[in-house]
Amino acid sequence: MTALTRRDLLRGVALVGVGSAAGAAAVHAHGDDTVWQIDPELCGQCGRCATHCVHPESAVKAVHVHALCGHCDLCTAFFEPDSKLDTGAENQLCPTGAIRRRFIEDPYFSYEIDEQLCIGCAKCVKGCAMFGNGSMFLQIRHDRCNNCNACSIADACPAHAIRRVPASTPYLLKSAH
Amino acid sequence: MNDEVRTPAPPDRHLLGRWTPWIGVLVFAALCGAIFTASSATRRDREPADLDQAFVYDVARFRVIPPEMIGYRETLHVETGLEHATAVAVGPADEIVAGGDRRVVVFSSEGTRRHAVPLPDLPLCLALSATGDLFVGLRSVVLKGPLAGPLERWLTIPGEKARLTSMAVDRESLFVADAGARVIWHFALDGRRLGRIGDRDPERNVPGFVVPSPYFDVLLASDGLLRIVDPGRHQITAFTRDGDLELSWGQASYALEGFVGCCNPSHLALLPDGRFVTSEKGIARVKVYDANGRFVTAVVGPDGLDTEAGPCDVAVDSTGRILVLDPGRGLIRIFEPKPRRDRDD
Repeated sequence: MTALTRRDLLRGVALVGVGSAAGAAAVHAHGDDTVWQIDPELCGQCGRCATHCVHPESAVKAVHVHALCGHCDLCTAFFEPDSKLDTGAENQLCPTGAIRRRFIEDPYFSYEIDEQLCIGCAKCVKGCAMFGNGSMFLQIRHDRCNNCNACSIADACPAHAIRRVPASTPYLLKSAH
Repeated sequence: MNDEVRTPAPPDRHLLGRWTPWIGVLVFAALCGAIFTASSATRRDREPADLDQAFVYDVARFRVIPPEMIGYRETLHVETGLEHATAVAVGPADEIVAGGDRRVVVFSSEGTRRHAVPLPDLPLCLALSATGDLFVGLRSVVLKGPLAGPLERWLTIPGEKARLTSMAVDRESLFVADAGARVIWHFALDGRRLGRIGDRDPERNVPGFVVPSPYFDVLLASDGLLRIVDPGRHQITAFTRDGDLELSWGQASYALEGFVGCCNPSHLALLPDGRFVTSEKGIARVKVYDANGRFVTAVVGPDGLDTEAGPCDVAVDSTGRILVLDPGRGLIRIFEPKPRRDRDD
């Protein structure tokens, strides 16, 4: 068995260092060019976005595309199933009261997300997708996201719905068409 | 003579030594990769969302229909061969007609495939006249022709938002439901437009249809009135041909007797005895109501239907069989009343 010379050792360490630096540089460049985002067509509303983000308050929030919304009186994203149609807290679906309902004209209402209160649990998203047009869905908000190299929510997502997208188009929004 | 004694060459220390660090790095990287892969592969199953029940959307209890409330049983199913089945209708001789992909497929009443008629686009709704003319609604165009084909472009519905969802035809008129405009278009069979029904008009006590999603059904009943679903109000309305609102019934409820969710029913059909068949989306339920809107029985519930691909269109033949399109499986499922001895009522 041959002994490892000091020169070999130093060369190996140097190579590892160079490799690591190159890798880090590549990751850094990758991070600058792309960001994590949820594909709303794949999202299964499992609730893990609320619990698996490295932030104590998830970077994932519900968003609402008003052009897709039916503006229903009986909004299944707003009301608990089989509850009374009044806006008492006990009838509201969102456990944090993050959805604001506003009368437009009979019988239409608008619904808005209060991001300060939303935790990204997807409960409203599921209600909207099951009965409505799917106008509410989850997105990673980039003013909150660290853009980690390995996204812990993406790792936990059973639907593989989180992927990197170009930073120039950082949101995957549904459209009315 | 060369007396130099040759000794065996020593192992190439230099070569071995040069690769040793690389081998170490590779082994280390492989180990890390294996651990990470194993960890992430199991993590999805191992770590569900740790959310309190208050954060979970749960409607499982509404998906259960007691067996004694189901008065029908499946007696036949027809494989349409369509990947994206969208509509079902019945012909004058009880032919079963399925629409989807870019074609209409025609079967005998017993499910034997007869022929297919190609289409230029995805059909969204079908109607058949008593004389055997087939009407196919695309997004904003109505095609017309004999059931054997070919079909010709017959009408274009005005408006950029036109979205055809249902049609009803008799000897004089074709009524076309347009979810985009939220009206029923009335055409003579020579193609002349005769009017539109359902525009909001407080003076005529017509509140306007609420159509949040593209499911908006119309049929012609034997009493001469149109029956039009107002899905956002969870009601079936009766209109004259001239657009007067005569009556309505139906209420929102997760209970079996009502219509569930934001906007239902999605589809409507009429039994020969004047009772109505409704189909709901979200929690898929097909049910029968009497002519006055009183709940009679369930036909099939959410456990029996695959609605991932969309809601279930319904149709009825002259013998009272109920045809339910099961889009997830590409099937037309045919239900008949249970024999009295099998019913608990």
